[in-house]
Amino acid sequence: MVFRNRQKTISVADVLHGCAPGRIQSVGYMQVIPLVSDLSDNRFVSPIEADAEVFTTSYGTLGFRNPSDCLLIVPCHAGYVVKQAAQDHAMAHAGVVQSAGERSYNTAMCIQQSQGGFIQRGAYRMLILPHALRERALAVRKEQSYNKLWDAISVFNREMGVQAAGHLEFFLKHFRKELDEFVAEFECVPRQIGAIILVNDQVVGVERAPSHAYWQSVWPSLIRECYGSLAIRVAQLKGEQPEAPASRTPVPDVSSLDELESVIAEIASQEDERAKETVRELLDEELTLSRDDSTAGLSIETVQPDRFTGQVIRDGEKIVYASLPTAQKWLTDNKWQKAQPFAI
Amino acid sequence: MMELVKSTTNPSVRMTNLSNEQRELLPLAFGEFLDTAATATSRATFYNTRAEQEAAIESVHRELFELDRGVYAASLMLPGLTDFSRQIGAVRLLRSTRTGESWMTVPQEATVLHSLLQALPPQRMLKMFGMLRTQRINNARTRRLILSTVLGADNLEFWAVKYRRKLETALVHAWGRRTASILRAVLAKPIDDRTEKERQIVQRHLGRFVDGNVERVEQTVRFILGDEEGLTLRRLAAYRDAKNDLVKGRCLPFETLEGLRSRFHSDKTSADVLELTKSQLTTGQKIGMQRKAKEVNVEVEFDPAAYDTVRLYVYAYEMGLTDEIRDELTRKAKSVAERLPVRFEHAAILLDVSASMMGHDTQAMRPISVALALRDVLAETAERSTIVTSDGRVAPAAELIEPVGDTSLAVGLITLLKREPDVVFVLTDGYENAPEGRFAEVIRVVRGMGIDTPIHQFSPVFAAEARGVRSLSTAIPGLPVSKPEAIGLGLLKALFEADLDRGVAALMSMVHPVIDAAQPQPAELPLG
Repeated sequence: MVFRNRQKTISVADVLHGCAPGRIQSVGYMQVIPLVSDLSDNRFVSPIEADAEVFTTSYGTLGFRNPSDCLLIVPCHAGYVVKQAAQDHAMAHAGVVQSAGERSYNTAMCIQQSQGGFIQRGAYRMLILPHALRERALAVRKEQSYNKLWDAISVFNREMGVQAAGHLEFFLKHFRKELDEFVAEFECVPRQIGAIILVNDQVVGVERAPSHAYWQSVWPSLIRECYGSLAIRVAQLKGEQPEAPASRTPVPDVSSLDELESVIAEIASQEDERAKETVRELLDEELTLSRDDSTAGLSIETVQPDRFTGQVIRDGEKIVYASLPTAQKWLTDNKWQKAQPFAI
Repeated sequence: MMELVKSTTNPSVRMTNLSNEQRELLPLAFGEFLDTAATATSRATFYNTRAEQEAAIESVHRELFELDRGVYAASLMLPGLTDFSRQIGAVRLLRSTRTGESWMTVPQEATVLHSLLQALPPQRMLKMFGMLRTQRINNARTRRLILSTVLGADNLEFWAVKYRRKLETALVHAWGRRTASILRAVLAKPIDDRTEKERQIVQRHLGRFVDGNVERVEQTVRFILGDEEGLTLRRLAAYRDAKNDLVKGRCLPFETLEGLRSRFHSDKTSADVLELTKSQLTTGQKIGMQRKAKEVNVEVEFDPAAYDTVRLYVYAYEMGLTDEIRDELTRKAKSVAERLPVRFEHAAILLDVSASMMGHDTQAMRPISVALALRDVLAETAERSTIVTSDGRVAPAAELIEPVGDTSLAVGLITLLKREPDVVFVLTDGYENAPEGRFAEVIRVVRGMGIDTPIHQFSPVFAAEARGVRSLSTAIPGLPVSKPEAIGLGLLKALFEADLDRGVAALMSMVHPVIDAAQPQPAELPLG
């Protein structure tokens, strides 16, 4: 494996190249702008599509066997919470596994503090770490220490109102129903390969997959644990009944069905335009990438935290995968950053 | 509110035994009971653990039962209830001694219990007997019900090879260990060698429950109790002989022979068993094994007439929709519609065909299949129907439609209301996202215009979900439906809420034929 520290700057527009925004979906505090595209690169599969064997061989080492004849892209911060007497694990970064190949990552993390045992080889349900843990996980991605995320999980659990310990399953169990609902609430649309996710009117992540099939397989994990956890936190802070998002226009009283039909069409058009505006506002955002790994012609690059954190996987200049959660600091400072510049 | 029930002119019950408070509570308890009983299973689901399921189910059954035992018993007879609901309902009736007056007589309740058992598939009936054992319910009514049902069954021999252990449990529970042991010893003797006392024992515990050939039943009971000596009945002998020669078990059910293969013939494959037993497959197995049969190149006969419409749609999504299946779907929809207590001139149907209607992996394509089956039935309840999908696609009756994309139902509702139907049915899982709440906004505006066309939301559900159905609007509470037959439950619930006495009358009109069978002269009681 060759590690070369080489930096490169791209923009969010590069990440979204070849995509168009679909109709915005909005439920509660969460909104999703689907990214649709005719570009669908079927050379790559997710662990779910490949029915990959997942296993741990020591604490902090997570392995994947790719039985398919495609390259396996392990999504950034993929995790496995299993029913066996085995320690749950998650990746600290993305990964690439050759077709019909096997690869173990000794930079993985235990996400279940006081449980022993190794995960037996098998296909398991995949999760993506909660949004609040992803930046921290990425910061320690090169450390070989199985317990490196325990403190962060403990803080996260405490904030969410569950037992403060390095056990992610405490959170998952406590909020199981709420998390499940996100999967049904936000639906994949035809040709979708990515999404821009908003919570409480703020962009909290940009996600792109190599193909529609790949997207369909990872979307439930993204919306459930990663972004769903953030929506739950916002609901805790602001109350269960959200105000209508700023992008929504209420339907006014009208006097006929024909009038109502045209009003609804007009409102839909306005909401569509606002969604496009949200995307436009992101396009020039710069992402500074540093290369972490290179496998089978694919380079895995990490975004230096600014507005976004996360990782990008490129095949030459072509971006085949991107997972860009918004950085915590940017979310905290967002009001300041979005305020209008001084002018008289 | 428009007339939903075809006829309430033959009421059989007046709810005079209820206080005003009980009259207020009954519609609520009845509604909650139906919501749960139409969907309850004993399995954990995507949304609910098994413990949550059981707590939700126990609560709604207890409330209705305590308010009115008669309404509770009658409700268990309604079409569309899950087998699990009927099981626990029957257990509750058997467990509780009748106290005080009830408009449902003892013989009527006995008929209800007998009918409930007859309606259950054998494995579920036996599971119910297992519940009786677990809950230590062993009163005379229970013992009589178990023994008459098991020993009087026409296909006891078939059950014996398929459910041997469960039958043993049920019989030992009814007889008690000592009597069962005595019976086994006595039955091992030839009839002519038995003493008079032994003959009386056999007659008292077995013979009096048998209508037909007592010798066959005696041999079958002997087999159930673990005695395989001198078996002559075809299936029982085949079971014994298949342990040495798999081919001799060709008249056994697939899973029975498969069990024997895995224990005694590890050199044989599951495909060998399928080939041997293909003529023995149940209707459920035939549809479930089409893919496996295809893979191992075994032709398994498939008769669409033997399956309900939801299963046919699930099957069609996997294996394709043929003209034969389409014809059967249409025939069944007409048949179900004829039994519903409603009729419309022009019914409008708004069908949610978004991606979430595919359902969770564990029940893939079931939500959309339930919705399509409901669509077909509702279309048949009207002289004329208009069907619109959430994404503007065409979805004629008895045709498949692929669930894709987001959920926007508001525009479809406006399109339908412009056609001025008598009623609008919205078939959806309730997950609106483009955007959430727009449907409710449109309802508010159209009601403000003075358009009061009844709008009903039916949602495919598969569990007694603790949090109920997700309604698109507070103005039209969602009604859970797990199969087309259960659609009458939703309409009945609406009627109970609007007018208790008419609701009870409609309930009785739906279950009267069975309950009346116990009465030589039905009691005609006026409604208040």
